[in-house]
Amino acid sequence: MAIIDRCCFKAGGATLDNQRATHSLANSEVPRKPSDHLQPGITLVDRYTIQSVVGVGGMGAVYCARDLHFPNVVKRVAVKEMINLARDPVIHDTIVRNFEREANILATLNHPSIPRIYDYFSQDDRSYLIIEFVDGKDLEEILADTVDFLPEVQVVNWAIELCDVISYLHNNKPEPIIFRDIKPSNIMVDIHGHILLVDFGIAKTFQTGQKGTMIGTEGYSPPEQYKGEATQRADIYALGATLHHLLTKRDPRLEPPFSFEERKIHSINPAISSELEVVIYKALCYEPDKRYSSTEEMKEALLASAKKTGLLHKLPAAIKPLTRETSEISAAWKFECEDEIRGTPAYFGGSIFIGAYDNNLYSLNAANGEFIWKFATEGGIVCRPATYEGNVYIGSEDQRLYCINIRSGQEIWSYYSNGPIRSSPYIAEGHIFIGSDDAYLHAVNALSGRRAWRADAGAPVRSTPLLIGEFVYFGTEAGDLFCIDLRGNAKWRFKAKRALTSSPVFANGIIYISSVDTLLYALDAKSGYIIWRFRMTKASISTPFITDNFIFTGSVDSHIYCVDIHSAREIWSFATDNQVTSSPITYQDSVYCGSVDGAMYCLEFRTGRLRWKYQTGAPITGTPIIANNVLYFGSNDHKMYAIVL
Amino acid sequence: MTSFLNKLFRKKPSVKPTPSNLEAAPDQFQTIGSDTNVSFTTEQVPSILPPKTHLEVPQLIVGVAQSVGIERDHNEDSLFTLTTNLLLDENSINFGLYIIADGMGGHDDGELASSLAVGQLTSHVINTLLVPLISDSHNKLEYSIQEIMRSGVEKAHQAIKKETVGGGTTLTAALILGDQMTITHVGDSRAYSIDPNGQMQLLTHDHSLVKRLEEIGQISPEQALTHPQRNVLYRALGQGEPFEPDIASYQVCQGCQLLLCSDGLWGVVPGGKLADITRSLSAPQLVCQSLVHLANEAGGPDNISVIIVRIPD
Repeated sequence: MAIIDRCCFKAGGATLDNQRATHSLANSEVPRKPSDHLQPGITLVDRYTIQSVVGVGGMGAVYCARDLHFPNVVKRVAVKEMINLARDPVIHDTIVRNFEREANILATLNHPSIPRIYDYFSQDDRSYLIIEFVDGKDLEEILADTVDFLPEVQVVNWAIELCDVISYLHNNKPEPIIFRDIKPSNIMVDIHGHILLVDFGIAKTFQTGQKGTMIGTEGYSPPEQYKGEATQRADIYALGATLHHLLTKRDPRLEPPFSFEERKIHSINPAISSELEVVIYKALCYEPDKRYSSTEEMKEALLASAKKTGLLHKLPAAIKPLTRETSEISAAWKFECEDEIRGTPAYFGGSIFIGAYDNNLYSLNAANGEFIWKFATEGGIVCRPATYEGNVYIGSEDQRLYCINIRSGQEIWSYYSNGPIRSSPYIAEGHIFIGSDDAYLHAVNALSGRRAWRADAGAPVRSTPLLIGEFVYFGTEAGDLFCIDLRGNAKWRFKAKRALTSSPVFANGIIYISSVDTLLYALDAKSGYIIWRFRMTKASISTPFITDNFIFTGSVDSHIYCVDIHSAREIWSFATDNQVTSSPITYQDSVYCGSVDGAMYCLEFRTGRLRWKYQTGAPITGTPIIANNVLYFGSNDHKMYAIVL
Repeated sequence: MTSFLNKLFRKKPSVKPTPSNLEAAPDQFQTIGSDTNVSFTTEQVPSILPPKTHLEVPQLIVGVAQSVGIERDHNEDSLFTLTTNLLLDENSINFGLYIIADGMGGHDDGELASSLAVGQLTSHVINTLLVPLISDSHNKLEYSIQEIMRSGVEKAHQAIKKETVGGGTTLTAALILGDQMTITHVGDSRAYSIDPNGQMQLLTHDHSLVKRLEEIGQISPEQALTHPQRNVLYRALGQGEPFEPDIASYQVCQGCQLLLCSDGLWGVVPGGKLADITRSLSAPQLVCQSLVHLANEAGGPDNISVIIVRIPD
C-alpha cells in the first residue's frame, strides 16, 4: 500500500527520477494527513459501509466494510484506499489510470491464494479497491504471537504454497506480474491454514515509471530493486528473506540490508535443518543469476529438502528439535563429598577450595582431585572461598566468617555476624568485605578478624560486594544497590523492584547487576542512574560476566544471555532445559555456564552455538572457574568435577 | 579586552599577543554565528586563547557552526546544544545534550522533519530526565537513559509522520551525563570521538545504502563517493515501520573531543583533516567555524552542521 512514503531520499545527488518521486508529495495542494482515514459508518458509492479500520499505511488505509447489496446477510469485504496527493493534473491522472489498469489485470486473476477483486472506483483524490475479505492473520501477526520458533514443517508448507502463487503470477500472460513486495505482512493465513497474497499489484502500479525511486520494503528487497529493476528473481529473493525472518524471528527491517548471511538460520534456530537453510540462502544470493531461475525450481528444491529431512511424511505433525552433537567430554577427576555443592570453587597455588552443604570447606589437589584437608563449620557453605596472604576465607550458614590457614586447614580466627552468611568475601585494603543475612555489610580486618565497621543494609545481603576505587558496591534482598565509601557511609542507593541477589560487576564506569525483577541493569558507578536495562523473561540471580563488548548472564527463564554492553541489544540467547542460576564465565572463545538441568554448557561466545555439554547427576547452581586450562565446578550431586579443556 | 581575556582564561603573561593579532580578534569574533568565511590559523589562535583552561568544576566546552552551503538555497539541518552542571548528591556532574538532524523531503518537509526531531527529542529529554535531575528526584528516575532516548526518538518519529507529507530526517544525538555518553543515531549524520593524540573513532554507523554496498564489497570506497544513490538511506526518522534507532552508551574519555556533524561536512572534508583540525585548535567554537569554512571551500554541496564538545581532562 505505502509507496512513496518508503522512499528515504535525501536532497542532493537526486536523479531526475528521484525528484519526480517526491514531486507528487511535495506539490500536493492541501496535504492530506495519512491519518485522515474514513470513519466507520461512512458508505462509499451507496454500497460499502465502512465498519472498521484494518490497517493504516502512508498512502491510505484498509477497511473492513459491509456490502449493502446483500441486505439480508452480512457480507464483509475489504476496502483498500489509495489517496492520490499529486497536484499536477497529469501525474494525478496517470496515477488514477495506472490504478484502474492494474485493477483490471487483478480482476482477471484466479488463484486460491489471491483474494478476489469485486470492484474498483475513484472518488475525488481517493481510489478504492473492493476485494474479498480474508478471515485470518498475516504472518507478521503470527510471528508476533509465537512465543518460540515456528516449526520448520509449518514454514516449508507455507513456502510451497507461496511458490505456487508466485509462479502463477510470474506465468501471467501476456505480461508476467512481479509482486515486488513479498514480506510477512503481505501474506495472510486464513482460518484453514492456507496462505493468501494480499496487497499485490498496487505497489507495482505506482512504481511504474519511477525507476530508481523505490526502497521497497527495506530488509526484504533484493539489491537490484534499489536500482529500480524488478524481475522474477527479485520476488524469489524477497521470498527467501521472508522465510529467513519466519525461521529466525529476526526482522530484516531492523538489520542492515543484505545481511542475511551474517545471521545464519541454524545458529539462531538450531532446530532448522541444514537442507532447508541451503535452499533459503540460494534464494538470497546477492547476484540474481545465482538464485533460482524460477519459483518452480525453488519449489522443487524445497520438496527435495523436505524429502531428505523426512518432513514430507511428517506433515502436519510438529517436529522435535534435532539432537545436537556433543563430542565426548569426560572429567579428568571427580571428588565426592557428603552433601550438595551449591557454591563456587576457588583456585590457589595448585589447590581447589570448595565449600559444601555437608558444612565442610575442602582443599583438593587441583591436578588429581586428591583430598588435602577439610575444615568443618556448623552450617552449609554456599559462599565462594577467597584467598589472601596464606589464608583462605569462607562464610558459613552458621553465621560466621572464618580465616583458615591455607596449608594446614587450621582455623586462625572466626568472626560472628548475626545471620547466615551466603555472600562471598571480597578482599581489599587489608579487609574482608562480606554480607550477611543479618542485614549488614561487614568490613573485617583480614589479619585480626576484628570488625572495622558494619553498614546497615536494611535487608539480608547475599550479593558479593565489589570494591572499585574508594567505593564498595553490593545488592540486598530488598532490591537496593548500595554504593558506600570505605568508612561505611552511603554515597548513593539504587532500588530495583525485587531482590539483588547476584553480585555487581564493573566495566567502563558502569556497575552491572541482574535482579530478581527480571532485569539486567547498567548503572552509572558515580551516581547510580540507569544507563540501560535489559529484560529477561524471569528472575535472575546469576552474576553477569563481561568479555570484550559482551555481557553474559543467566536467568530462571532457563536461558543464558549474551548482550551488547553498549547498546543493550541481545546478541544471542541459549535455552537450557531448566533454570540458570549459575553465573557464566568466558575463556578463550567459549562461554561456560551450569544449569539446574544438571549440565555444564560450553557455548561459542559470539554465536551462542552449543559446543558441548557435560551432564552431572543434579542441578549445577555454582559458577565454574578455570585455572591452567582446566574447568572446575561443583554439582548438587555432591561432586566436584575437573574437565581439561 | 586584553585584561578581560586575561582574567577569564588566566592567560600567562609570557604569551603576549602582538598588536596585529589584537586588531584582528574583534573582527573575527563578530563573525561567529554567521554562516562562513572565517579561518583561523593555528598561529593566531593561541594568542587569543590560552592552550589550556583550568576550571574548578571541569566543564564541557562546546562549539557550534552551521552553514547553508554553497549549492543550496535553504537549510534543512537542525541542531541543538545544551550544556550545564548538575549537583547530584553533593557531586557536580556534567550534563550535555547535543543533536544534529539533517532533513529530507520535498517542499519544506525536510526542514520541518529535522526541526520536529530536534524539538521533540529535546523536550522529551528535558521533561523526563533533566527536570527530575534538577529537582532532586533523580533517585526516582523511572526509566533508563537509553529508554528515555528511545521513547524521545519514537515521539519524534510519530510527529514527523503526522505533521509532514513524506518528510524524514537523520538524527544523531549525544547525551552526556557525568562519565557516560549515550549516542542515539538514525541515518547518515555522524558522531566521532577524537582523542588527544588525534585518533579518531566513528561512533555511529551510517544507515546508508551505498555504505552497506561498500561493506559487503559490492562497490569500492571510490565508487561509493560518486555513487548516484549515495544519498539513499535505509533508515530515517519519519520513514518506515517498524523503526528502531541505534542507541549505545560509552564511557567518555578524558581530554577527548566529541564531533557531531551532518554529511555536508564529513562527505566533503576527509576524516584525517577533521581530526587534525579538531586537535590543532583549542577553542571548539573556532574549530567548528574552520570546519564549516573548509566544507564550503570544497564546494559546499550540502548544508553543513557541526558541534564539537570538549570533554575536560
